[in-house]
Amino acid sequence: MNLEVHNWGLNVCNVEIDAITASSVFLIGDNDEMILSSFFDTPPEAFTVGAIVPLAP
Amino acid sequence: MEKRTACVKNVEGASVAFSSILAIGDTEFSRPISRVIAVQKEGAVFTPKDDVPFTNYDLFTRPAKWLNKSSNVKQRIYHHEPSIHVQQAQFIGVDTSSIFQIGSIHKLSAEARIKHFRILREEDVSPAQST
Repeated sequence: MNLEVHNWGLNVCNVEIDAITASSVFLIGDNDEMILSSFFDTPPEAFTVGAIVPLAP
Repeated sequence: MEKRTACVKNVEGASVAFSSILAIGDTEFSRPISRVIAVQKEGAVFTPKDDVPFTNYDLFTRPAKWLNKSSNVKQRIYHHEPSIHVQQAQFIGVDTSSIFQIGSIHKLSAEARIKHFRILREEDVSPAQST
């Protein structure tokens, strides 16, 4: 596939963001290749009652 | 990739943390990696007993499913203006392998692995004991 792109101008007046987290990207500009991976784990087992952290997965 | 000049007037941010990047300009290759174990504990008193080793969880070792490279797109980009203009950009946080950039990134691959724990107090502790 052939793709032709014409960038006639890039002007940003104002951007407001709270947070960019866990392998995320905020980009004003150009990019050829972007690969993002994120593992996030907060299972019900993450809640333990008492001062013991589980030792086995 | 043809480069453009980044003209930036104002950037405001509170925090850039844990393998994160704030960049104005061009990058050839970027590969931020972060592994996080976050322990929140009721009472917030931490002892060595609360340490959690990364080796106990396969979340940190299992391979990520990267996409196969199979694009056969032939791309031609024409910049008719030599610069990028940004008046104002604001953020509160850039965290855990994240990127805030004004400019170009040729290649980028970011990876974040985060595991959370919550430790609550025993429920049958009387209010007098818990103080």
